[in-house]
Amino acid sequence: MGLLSEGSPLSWEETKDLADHVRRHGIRQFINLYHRLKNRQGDVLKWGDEVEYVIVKFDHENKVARASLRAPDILQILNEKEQKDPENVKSLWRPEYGAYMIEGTPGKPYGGLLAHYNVVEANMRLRREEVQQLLQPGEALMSLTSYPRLGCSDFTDPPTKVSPSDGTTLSLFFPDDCIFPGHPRFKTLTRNIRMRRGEKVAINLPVFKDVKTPSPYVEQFPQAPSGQPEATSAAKPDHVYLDAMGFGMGCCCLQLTFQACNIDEARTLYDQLTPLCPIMLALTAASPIHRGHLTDVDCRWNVISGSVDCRTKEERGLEPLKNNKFVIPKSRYDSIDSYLSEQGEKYNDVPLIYDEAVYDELRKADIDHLLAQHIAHLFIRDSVSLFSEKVHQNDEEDTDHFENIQSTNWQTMRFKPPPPNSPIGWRVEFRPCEVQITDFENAAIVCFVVLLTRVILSYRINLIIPISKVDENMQKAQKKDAVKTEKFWFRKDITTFSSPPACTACCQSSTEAKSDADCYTLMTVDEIINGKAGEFPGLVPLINSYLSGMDVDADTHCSIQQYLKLIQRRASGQLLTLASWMRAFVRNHKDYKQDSLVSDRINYDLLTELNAIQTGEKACPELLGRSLHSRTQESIPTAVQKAAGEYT
Amino acid sequence: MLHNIDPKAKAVHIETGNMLSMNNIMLKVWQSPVDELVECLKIVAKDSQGLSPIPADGLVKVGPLKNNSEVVNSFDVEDKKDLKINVKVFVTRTNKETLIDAVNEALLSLETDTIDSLVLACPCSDETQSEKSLPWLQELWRTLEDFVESKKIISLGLSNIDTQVFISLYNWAKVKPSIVQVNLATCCVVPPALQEFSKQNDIQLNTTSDPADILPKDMLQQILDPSLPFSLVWVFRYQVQVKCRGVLASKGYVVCCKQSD
Repeated sequence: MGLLSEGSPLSWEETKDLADHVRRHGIRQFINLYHRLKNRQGDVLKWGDEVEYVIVKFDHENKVARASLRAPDILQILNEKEQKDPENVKSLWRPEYGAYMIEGTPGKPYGGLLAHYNVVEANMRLRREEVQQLLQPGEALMSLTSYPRLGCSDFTDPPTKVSPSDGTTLSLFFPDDCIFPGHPRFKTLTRNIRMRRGEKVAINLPVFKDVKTPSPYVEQFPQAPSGQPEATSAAKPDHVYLDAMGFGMGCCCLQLTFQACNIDEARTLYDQLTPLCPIMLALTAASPIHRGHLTDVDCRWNVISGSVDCRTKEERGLEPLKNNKFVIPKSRYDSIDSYLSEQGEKYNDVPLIYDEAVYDELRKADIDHLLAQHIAHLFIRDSVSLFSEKVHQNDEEDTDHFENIQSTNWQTMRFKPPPPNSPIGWRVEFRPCEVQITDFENAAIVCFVVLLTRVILSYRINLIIPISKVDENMQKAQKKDAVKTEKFWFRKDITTFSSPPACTACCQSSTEAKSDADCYTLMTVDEIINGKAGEFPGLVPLINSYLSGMDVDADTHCSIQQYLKLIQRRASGQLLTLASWMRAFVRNHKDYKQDSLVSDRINYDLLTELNAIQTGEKACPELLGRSLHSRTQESIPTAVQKAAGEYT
Repeated sequence: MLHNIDPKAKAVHIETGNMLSMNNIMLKVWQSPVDELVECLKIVAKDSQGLSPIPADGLVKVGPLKNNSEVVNSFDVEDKKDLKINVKVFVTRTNKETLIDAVNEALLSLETDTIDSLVLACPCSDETQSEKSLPWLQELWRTLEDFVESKKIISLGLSNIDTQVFISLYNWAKVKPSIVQVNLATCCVVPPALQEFSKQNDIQLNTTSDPADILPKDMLQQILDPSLPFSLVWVFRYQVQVKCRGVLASKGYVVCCKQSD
């Protein structure tokens, strides 16, 4: 979830007083690191995925499933293993917001050979098996984007109680004891975000109106403390009301990070993948159920965005500015606001909020306009977590203050400078995807995105559309069944080279002759992924064209083809998204009363079914197809290694 | 179509140049590499100038297009050593002179001293699928081994070859093939014997979507006036990759037709 500094957290008042201090030094640290590393060249492709999991405890006797709060115990064992043998562990484990969550990454990044695509799924399996060994009877490790009954009464094992009138969260639904207790960062962030905002966070998701759902749908909250109307006042009728950071940061995601060869390539990839974020969000939609309700959304994104929205009423434009500097249109968790490459510059069409003085300081330090405004924009946020040991730093060497702000800007894409004194280069993080239930699906998504980056770099295609259109797409992407029903803005003229004279006749367009508005159009996810005859080649056909020009070993080729087929069939609607599948499962359940509510029993059966699909005990052709299996392997074949070694 | 070529020329080379800079080729979805190659050659043919005098060596060169004459995209590649040059040669004749000519031309037109890997696609005939092909295949292989010896090629491979023929050649060869390509059509159903043999001997078993005949006669006739006295001798494709980054820097073909005997 971000940087984990060790030490003792400061109170909100102390943190608030040091906000400018953190910003001032953070900017200086960035300037120093930029000049130290801007000319770094020649880094190879290295990349890795991050998968987050929920530990589920099944009570088979009573047919109830609960979120197990055993992450601290399990992590302790996993981390001891890593400390003993940091070089050779196959996977790395980190805490996440929920005490029922853990995050796993490969022990070493994958590399630039095509054969690396074939070890991803095997590594994901190894990770699961590693945790599996530490589970108790009845427990299961599940890569679930949102735990369906999160925040319902008695949803944890052991049981926990909410504390709406005191404590960290003040939630009516999400107990403080569900926050990972092993590191102070999580509770500190929760408290500080709420205190900075001046009230509890509030998320209202439109409820899925089924035939017997009352209209208007108005919930009663008997657990609300009496005499405190603010405890429930943000709840809207016909919505599922969520009031805690845990509803968002307690969700699981699938993220990937890759290293660029230099800063310019990192900018290019940051920009080029931005328009893909909403498309991948729609395609990976996996969270239709929140707090035991079917909702009208399929994705977690807006939930997380609202769950860490630390903006005050003034900043949200609800009250005139008095104590704050800016009206800020978005939460610190949202889609990006500006492109970083020259190619993207003219598509920066949303007003970018930043402090002129910060921007000027960056410009004076010889940082170009695009990067300066990006950093200045990140730095409109205050620190929401500060540790006493980290207040005073050496700006020449340390980067904690920069990372403090950078790592609490949770956006669709993240532009990551190299860490100090490390062999790591400039990196880009791709963050929109919802995590899928099986390793096969997660590997498919990860490989698809990384392959697409190779296509973008090889063919130098351009996918950029105006930021405002990406924002629009982000909202569409989360709607129920967006893959099947929505059309998204996408670039159709993706060419960048000027065409040779003889080609112009058969070219649909020459870049100069067309206005920018003609470069993009509305397309379905199917058209974007699979292509539209005469208009757009499709991202998967482009990947196949790239692959035909590369040497691929037969097993890797086979696996990649299976992954691409999954992506293609999800996009075409031939296979369901997990969100659609879950919604249908609930609606067809014998105990479902057509009232939008997901009961304990439905939750138990749903998770039992998903777990059986994940382990392979049960086939699920609607979700995974009938014959899709990869040939994933734990290691790169010796012949391929040898061939690569001849040149390194 | 190319009409204006002096029929007295000894040979005609048609070069595509770097196809990565031809958007309308790269961003189209092709059914097979043959379609892609033919479409690209048509564009080159259309763009070519009128009759030019035959150079002293008797070789007429057509293409590449002005915009994509650079072999490598101006990539952020610090050094040529970061590039990996792969060449695949398709020959229609089984004599070693043809192969030597093709490899030399590849070295020349790629402006390189070394080709990292060269895969030989066996000519398409029933014979290539039987042990009868072994004698001339061995002759061609000896030729390639000479290139390896003189450090002009680093590693060798074979494509479009019967498993038993491959194994016999492997066991006989001085420089062992390190790559064997199987056609995509049979992907996921790689011949088990070949799979086993490659695994035991650390041979890269790669897939390809190339048919054995990369430029069928009827296709060539759409590019080069069939009334001219030339016939296809070899085709080679080059792919230049940036090592360890999975990025293609260049891809193109050179086609050679010679006076029909």
